[in-house]
Amino acid sequence: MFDAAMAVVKPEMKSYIWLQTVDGSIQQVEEEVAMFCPMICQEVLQTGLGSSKTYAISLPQRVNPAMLGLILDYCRFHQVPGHSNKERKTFDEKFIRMDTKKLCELTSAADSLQLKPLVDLTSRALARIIEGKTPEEIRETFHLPDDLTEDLCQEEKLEPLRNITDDPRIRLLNRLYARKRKELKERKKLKDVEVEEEPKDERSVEDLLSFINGADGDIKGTRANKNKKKNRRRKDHAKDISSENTNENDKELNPLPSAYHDVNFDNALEASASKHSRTQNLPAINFSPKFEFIDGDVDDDLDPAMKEELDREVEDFARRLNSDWPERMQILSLGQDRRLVPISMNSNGSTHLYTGFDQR
Amino acid sequence: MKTETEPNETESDWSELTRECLINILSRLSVEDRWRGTMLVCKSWFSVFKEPSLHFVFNLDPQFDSPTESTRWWTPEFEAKIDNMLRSVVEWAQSSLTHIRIRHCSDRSLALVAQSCPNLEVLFIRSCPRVTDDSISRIALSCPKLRELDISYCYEITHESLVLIGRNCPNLKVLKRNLMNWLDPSQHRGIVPDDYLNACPQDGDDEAAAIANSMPGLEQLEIRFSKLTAKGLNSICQGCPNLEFLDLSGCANLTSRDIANASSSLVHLKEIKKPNFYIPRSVFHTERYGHWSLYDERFQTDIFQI
Repeated sequence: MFDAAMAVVKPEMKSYIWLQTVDGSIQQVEEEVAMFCPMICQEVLQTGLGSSKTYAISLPQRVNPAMLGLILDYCRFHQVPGHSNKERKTFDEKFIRMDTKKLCELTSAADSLQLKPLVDLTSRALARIIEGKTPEEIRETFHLPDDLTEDLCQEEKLEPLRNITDDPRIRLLNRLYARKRKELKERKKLKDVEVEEEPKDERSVEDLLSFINGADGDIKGTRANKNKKKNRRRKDHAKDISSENTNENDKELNPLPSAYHDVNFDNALEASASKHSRTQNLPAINFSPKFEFIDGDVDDDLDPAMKEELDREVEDFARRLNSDWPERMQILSLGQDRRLVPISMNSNGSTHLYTGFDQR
Repeated sequence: MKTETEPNETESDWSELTRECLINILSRLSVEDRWRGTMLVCKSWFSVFKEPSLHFVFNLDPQFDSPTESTRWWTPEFEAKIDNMLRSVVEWAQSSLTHIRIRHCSDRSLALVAQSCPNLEVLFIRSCPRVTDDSISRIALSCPKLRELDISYCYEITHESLVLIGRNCPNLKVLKRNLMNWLDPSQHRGIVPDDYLNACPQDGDDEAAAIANSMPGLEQLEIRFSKLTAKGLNSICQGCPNLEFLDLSGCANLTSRDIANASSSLVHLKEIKKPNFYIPRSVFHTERYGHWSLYDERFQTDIFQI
């Protein structure tokens, strides 16, 4: 009877392995499930630990209770024979549906337990997350620091300070900043990513181009100055012309208008007259100053007679100016007939002279 | 075994992955995602990015295999970028670089490859107008394990460096020395610089002699649009008895009789592509009417060749 009872009890017994996580908690896991992990398997075979609660196997730092639970779930499913590949794939797809943080932790934990199938599964999932993302997006997804560009920030902070008061301390600080900047630049040059050198070269070329453009600007400036000089010369010339005009006006104002008319009239007659007429005009020229003197006297004595003669001359002159060319020619021909008129004027002049002598 | 499980005193950040895990993840990404995404994230990821095992193979061909080729690829600026990428990879791989499949690099980076990549096995450098005999000669002398070489559309490479490659790389099995379509250059017009298009090598027979005299173990040979004649083809078929694949498309100086006579001695030949002198223009000029395609197809035979 005892033998029969013992035989009945034995099949019901199961073997367990005790595992301890970092936080000190110890749990009991079925042996087949735990042995699915190569690391645990080696530990059991080599050290004999895990057989009891007091001799539990210590798991690595990266395996926390939550991750251990997930890993054991994975092992329980996959260590059982009989599942088809389709069922395994379906389980895997459901299994890796978790946030990125958990995926990272699970990958690290599985790696520490040397559970390669699970590491590959989670790595593939993480790779799928990274595909098609920009560096900024990857940083955001994995909460990573943007430390590749920290050197640039340092460089910005190292810009020289303005030394208005010529303080020696600021001068020294600027020197130190300059050295630091040089060091950073050298580091950049030594960086493996040589592709970054290209934009630097391009910038230098652009700087050269901008310098050339600046020089062109200077040339344009000089040309503008030349134009200004030319403008000044033109202005001076205009001023000269205007001054000449004023001089002419002054000349016109100097003689009396009546005398001026007489002079013009005489000139016209001389031009049109022949030699004979010229001989006649000579005494007229000789008498001209006296004539002017006499005019003053005549105004006082013989006003009506002189006024009538002057009016006639003015009218004739006005007609000639207002008439058209053919009429002017006719008037000129008539002018020849009126050559006798100055003779009468001469006689009048002589009479005037006589009266002058009488007055004196 | 306990020593392997070193406990970390400080709590690790939740986003911190071990170097091995991150290498595993990066190895599953495409070249584009690695170079345009993960490399520029942060210092620790950049440090992992430079892991040698990630750079044993440098393959940019998927990026270049697009139906529309870009004019920008033929500029010196683009060439300098490719050079810088290749030089970085050579440095990070630490003598373990085995496969290079890129385009538009120059002597500058290939000289470094020759200097630092003794284990190179595959070198595909199509469309490199500034790769010359100088760098190819250095590679011939420094990379004895070379098995596959593609120098298509590299017009500055001549038969002189080909001889050196053949003599110093006994394992060479695959050689691609295709030229651009000079029978109908419209395919490349507007993309490839015209002066380069017009600089097509004319010494097809010299190259054929170099191949025949120095590459006895060759198994695959592509020499599309080469200017070799029956003499050159005969020398190749005599000198490379192990040929299994031969591509003679566009070799307008060959006749069917030349090809039949020369290739009869190749007992291992499995596939041969013969020149087709009536290239359908409708492929590049869609303006033509449909029936012209039929016309081209009707006459795309060798009946009229003596």
